[in-house]
Amino acid sequence: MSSACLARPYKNAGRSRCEAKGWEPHAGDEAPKDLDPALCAEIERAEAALERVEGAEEEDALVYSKDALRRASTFLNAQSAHSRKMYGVFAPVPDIGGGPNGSVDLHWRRKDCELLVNIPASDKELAAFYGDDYGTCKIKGSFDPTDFDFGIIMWLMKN
Amino acid sequence: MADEELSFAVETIPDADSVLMRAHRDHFSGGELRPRVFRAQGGGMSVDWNKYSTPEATRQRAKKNPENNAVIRMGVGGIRSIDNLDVKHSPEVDNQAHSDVNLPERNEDLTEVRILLRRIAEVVLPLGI
Repeated sequence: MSSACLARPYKNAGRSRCEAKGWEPHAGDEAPKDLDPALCAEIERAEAALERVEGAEEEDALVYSKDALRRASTFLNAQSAHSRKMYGVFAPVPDIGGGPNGSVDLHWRRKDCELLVNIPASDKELAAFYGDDYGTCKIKGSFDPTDFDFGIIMWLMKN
Repeated sequence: MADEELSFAVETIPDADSVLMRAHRDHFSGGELRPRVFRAQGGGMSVDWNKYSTPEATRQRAKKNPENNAVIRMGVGGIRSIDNLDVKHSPEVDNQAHSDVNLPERNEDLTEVRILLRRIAEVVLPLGI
């Protein structure tokens, strides 16, 4: 079950928002309109992949931190909701997977641009990002993922 | 005498050559190779110089379940054209092809380099073959 999708009460208790078909929000619950089902599904896929990798014991398999995945999910949900509010559409959903040293990678590969955000395993380290338009327009830097700096997603939405 | 048996000469790898690297199936998503495949293990990112290896030999060096790995190839000149990256031959007792790509330690730089490496990587031995 997705930790990212459990922030608010949900009438289909025991099932995730993405697994439950035809789910409806509680009256007065404003969360569902800010939750992108496609993002929920990708987060759940990443959680399932992590559980599978943990049992694989293969040297080249990537094991990443559950805590980093939780922080990545929180970051993505905030970005997605902000995009919906600002642009009327959810932000593009990244591929979510393990990065180096237990970190989590968020990777957007689009026709006109590519962006990689790395959420470290430690919550004391800054997240890093790099993106470009396959040409001269580039963004690169670090940020605190808990501060919800929306500049990165705005860059993605404008490309 | 034992040392002589263990050592291969360290050579300079020309820009025109290539290096091979395993890519576990977890490093693919939606059929695409993802930048997460590029990471340091110890001193650098381990690769095999194609002068002394083949894609199949590189795949078979996986200690467990080699069939769960594809093999990718990158041109050495292409790697060296990225920031301060270099490729150095570092032969091991049981692998004359072993080489290392130095990756940046700073996470911002590593994040950029991983994107750029993925763009020059070519899958030469797909999963499941």
